[in-house]
Parts: sequence; structure tokens; C-alpha cells
Amino acid sequence: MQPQRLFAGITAVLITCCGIVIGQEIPKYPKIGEWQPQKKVQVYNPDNLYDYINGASELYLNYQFQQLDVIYYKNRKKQEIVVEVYQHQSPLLAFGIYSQERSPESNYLPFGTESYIDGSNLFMLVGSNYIKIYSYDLGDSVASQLTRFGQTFISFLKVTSPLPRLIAAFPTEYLQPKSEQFVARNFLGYSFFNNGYQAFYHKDEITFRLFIIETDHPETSHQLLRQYLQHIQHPLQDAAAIHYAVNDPYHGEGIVRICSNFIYGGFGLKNREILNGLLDSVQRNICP
Amino acid sequence: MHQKKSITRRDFVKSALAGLGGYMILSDEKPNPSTTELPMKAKIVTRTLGKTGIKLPVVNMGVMNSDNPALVKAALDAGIKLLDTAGNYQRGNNEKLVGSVIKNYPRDSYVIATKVLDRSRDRSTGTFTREATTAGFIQKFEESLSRLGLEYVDILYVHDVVTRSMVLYEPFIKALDQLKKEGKIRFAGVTTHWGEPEVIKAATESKFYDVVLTSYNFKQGHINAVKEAVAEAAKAGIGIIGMKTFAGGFIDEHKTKPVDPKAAIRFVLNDEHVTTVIPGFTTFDQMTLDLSVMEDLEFTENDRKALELGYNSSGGVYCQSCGVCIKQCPKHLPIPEIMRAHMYAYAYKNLWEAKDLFSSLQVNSAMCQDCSECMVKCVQGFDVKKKFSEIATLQALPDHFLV
Repeated sequence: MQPQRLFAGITAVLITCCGIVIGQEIPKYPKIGEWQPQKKVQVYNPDNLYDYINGASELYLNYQFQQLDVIYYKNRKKQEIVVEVYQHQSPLLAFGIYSQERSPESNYLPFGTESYIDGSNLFMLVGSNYIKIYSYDLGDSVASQLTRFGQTFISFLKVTSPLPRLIAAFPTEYLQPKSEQFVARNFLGYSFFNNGYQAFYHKDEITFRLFIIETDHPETSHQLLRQYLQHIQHPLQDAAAIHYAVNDPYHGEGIVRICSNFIYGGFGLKNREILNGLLDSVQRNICP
Repeated sequence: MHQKKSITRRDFVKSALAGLGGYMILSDEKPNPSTTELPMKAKIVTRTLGKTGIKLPVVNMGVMNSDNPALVKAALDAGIKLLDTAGNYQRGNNEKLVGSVIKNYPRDSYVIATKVLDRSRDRSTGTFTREATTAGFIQKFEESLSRLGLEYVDILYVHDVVTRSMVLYEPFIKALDQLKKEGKIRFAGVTTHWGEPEVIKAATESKFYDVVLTSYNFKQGHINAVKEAVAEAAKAGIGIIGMKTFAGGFIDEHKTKPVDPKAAIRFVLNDEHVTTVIPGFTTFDQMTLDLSVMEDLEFTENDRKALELGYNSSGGVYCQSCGVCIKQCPKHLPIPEIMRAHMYAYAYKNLWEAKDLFSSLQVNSAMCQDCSECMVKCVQGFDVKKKFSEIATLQALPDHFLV
């Protein structure tokens, strides 16, 4: 068969049968020192992420997972480093899934949107990408090798973004380190809240949480708050009320407030003075 | 989204007042406990988990997707007993979440199941590789135990087992046996999402495992094979727990018809050999709805209609690996794997994976030439011969054409 005809035949197979456009021969991902990316990059999408991470995939789909690239690197000693690049729809959603998995006790590094080394692995948030780099038997050089990989991928991806701005709205007093999360669905266990931010606090053996829900308009926030109050059968007060001491059937006693397009509050701490003080701090940050 | 754009004068006044301690003025400061009632305990129907003797409600909780300790607490308070988690869910944070809740409950009031996932496996052959060791398995489990804050777990699974060989993998059986002797686990099990009949039968054959956590739902094309394997296992004393009950949450491929959760749960519990299901609810309302199934467990004609049983979508793209076809094929071709390779190429657009798997099978479409008519009648309605022929064309492609 002539090369042109073979090429045309292959093209036809790829496009008509598989719906795929022929790719490049050059590896997509960069060589890193002596580490060479293998040609075979495994690509997963929302339909088959399950094949790679099983049931854990459901949570990723909640955070609008778009694509996963798994790149295998090998060096001359046949050692292997595996890089997983999870791409999500936005930096906020990538932060959301990253925040579900991050480990507060780990060694945090000063690059990427946020990054840390946990054992022989590196985890990074870089824009809309959540990157996991797994190494095996690298001995004493593990930290330096992982750091090099991390920095190379940051340069390669050419994206950057800060942590979501509302994360900084949580006061730091009593805050459990790295406990701030963005939850994409069914926030606080209520489907009408959809998404929101939460952070966990610790004082005198008591763990409690503060939360912030942002809507697109103050009226939307008021509607949402009314819906919540009705749901927990809390009497509706003056429409101008901006502070409610509630007894949520599931979260217990707490405080819920509203300002502008934000609903915010806290559950789990009986000391009202401290809780209100923390919520005052939240308010100063979101409704200055 | 920017508050400054949409803030009203009224909002501004309220905010300013609150900032000055105004919440005391415009507030509803006194909590009103009389207006909110604690959630009612659900009606609980129990079944016994095989030879373990553990009595469980027929609906429990897969904690996997939850980030909400209040939801786990609500589940326990409502009467749920089994919390199903895994070391790989949220990189261990899911176990920490469970641990943070159960520390406030007596140890005999709940049952904890967790899983060890070892990725050292050859997907084309369905076997663990030599990197999957006893010591590695035990180390992963010890980390789970620490995150849960427990001295022992009730059920430990080898996670995501797809073949007989993986079920009978000696280093992991050795690890489970050792952990049992040390009192760190009460019972051992396997979980299976693919090739369930083979896995369940192997677990039965092993005479070692106590529990199987298996996919079990109304959309499985090979549901009869699953039921048969489950019945055999139950007869041998193995406890059966069902998962993936909602089959992805939608009846149709275009995700326009949500699954009726109660009908889907009743479908599974209609099999008396299944002890319980573990839906992964993430809201209190979903939890209440799922638990309300116990009010009436009878699987009705209406449930059947709601689940559109009998509906045949020409098999979709997922081969359920029931294996019926292998016996029908005169050449005993590895049709489930061939269908899987086809799925990688045509549904997932993953040509590398497709070719890699297909090449490892060492088959070609010429093998079908002896049969004028394909003898295989796929239970899912796949046109096996056509799919085989389509995927076989991939073999001619040089690797560098594939991304």
C-alpha cells in the first residue's frame, strides 16, 4: 500500500469511526532533567474517570471535572514518577476538590496556587488544575525531585490564580489549618444552598464551623435565607432582620446572618460571644 | 456577583448596624427550640450479614461523597449502623470525617467498613503485580485505622477486585488473615465493580471471605448472573452488600430521566440475599427519602415502571462483563475485553488504552471468519461481531498516530 493511501486510510478510521483527530508525535508533556515522559499519556474524561479512580470519581464529577491526563515518567534507572493532571471547569472548582483532599499536617511549599509534599508525593493546585505527582523509591532526593517536577509543571501549564478570595474572609483565630473548603453541591446538607465555603475551628476540645454562602444578588440571599428558615421551621421575623439564632435540627444551635449577597454563620459552638466575634470578623471581610 | 454592584441602601444600613453590634437590634437572638424538632428515627428493618452475624438495617450509608459531619451524625441518629468508607476517598479525609463523628458514639453502636486499594495491578490481565505486597497492604490499613481513630474495624475489603485471580491473591489473603488474628479487623471482604459474578464466585470458592460489596442495580445487563452468584455466596454464608444502587442516577444515557431512588433500592432489596445497600446521600432530605424505603420494602409494578425495566437501549457502551458470550462463542474469544477495548476507543476516545488492551488479547477479526453467523447473543444487545470488526482496525495503526 502506498504511504499516502495508508495515511488516508488511517485518517478515515480515526475520524469516522472514533471521532478523533490525529495527534502530534511530539510528547505533550516536558522532559524534566533525566526524566523522560513516556509516549503513552492516559486520558480520562467524565465518562470514564470511574475506570481510573473507581467510586472516588463521583466526588470529582461534582466539581465539574473535565479531563485527567496521566503521564508516566521514567529515568535511566527505570524508576518511575507518575503525574496526574486533573482539569476542572474553573480555579474555584479545582480548589473545591483539592480542598476536600488536602492534608493539613503536610509540608507546604511556596509555589503554585498551593502545594504540599505528603510522603513521597506532591500535590498542587495550579489554576484550574489539581496535580498529583507520585514517586517511588527515590530515597533522599525525593523532595528535590518532586519540587523540580512541580515547578516544571507550573511553568509548563502557564496558568496561575490565587486562592479563592472568600477563603481569606474566614478569621484565623481558632482556625484549624488548611480546613477551609469550597463545597460545590448540597452545601451543609441542604440542596437549596447549592454551594458554599466552610472552615473548621477548634477551641477547648470543641470543633465548630463557620460558613459563607455567596449568591448573585442580595434579594437572592434573602430568598435563600427565608427558604432555610422555613425548612428548619424557624419563625420568620421582621424582613429587616439580619441575625438569627437558630436551632437547626441537624447542625444544632447556631447563628446565621445575612449581609448584601452573603449568608454566613456558624454552628457547633455554644459560646455566643466568641461565635459572634468571629462572625463580626467575617462580616468585616465580606461586607466592609 | 460583586456585592458593591447590587448592594441597596437598605442593605447598607443593615450592614452598618450589624457592624456596630446592630445584630442585637435587628436580630432574632433567642433560639426557639420548640419550633424545630429533632429528626425522627426511621423505621428500621434489619437483615443479618451472612455468617458475620451482624444485624444491619437494610439501608445504610456510603460516606464517600460526604464532607459533612452533621450528615454522618444524622445518619447514625436516624438508626443507620454501617458507615462505608475507604482509605482512598478524599485521600483519607473521608476516614477522618467518619472518625470525628464516631468518637462520640459507643463502639458497639456502629459498624465500620473500610477498604484498601492497591493500584499495583495489570489491567490487561486483571492481576495484581508483585509490587502488591502483604506489608504494603497492612501499612495502608494501619493508616486507615489511625485516621478512623479505632482499634479495629468491622469489615476490611480488598478494594476494586475484578477477577478471580485478584480475589485469591495470596499476599492479600495473608494480610487479612494476619489482621484478623491481631484483632484489627473482624471480617474480610472484597469489593467489585466489574466482572461481579466471577469475583463473587471466587470469594465463595475461597472459603476465606466473609463479605462481598458488589455493584448491584436495575441497569446491569448481566443482573441474572449477579443474582445467581449472590445466591450461591449467601448460601455459603457470605454477607452481601449492594452498591451503585442508583446506576449513576439516571435511567437514560442523556441524563434526562432521574432514577427513582426508592424504586432502585427496593429493586436490590427484593433479593433477600442482599443484606443492605449503602447509598451515598449528601443531603438530609436524600437520607430521609432513602431511609423511608424501610416503611415498605415490596418491589411493585410501579417501581418496575419507574425504572423502565425491560427498556433496552441497544446495550449502551458499557459491557457488564457477565461472560455469557464466552461460552456461546465457538472460539471462546475474550469478548468482554474486546468490548471494553471498543468502549475505550469509541466512547472514551482513548485510542492508546484501546489498542493497548486489544493488542494484549492477541486476537484478530479473522478468527470470526469460520462462522457465517455470529453465535453470540449478547444479553445487553451488543452487535459483538460488528464491534469486534471495528476495533480490530486499530491494530493496523502505528503507535505514533495515537495521542
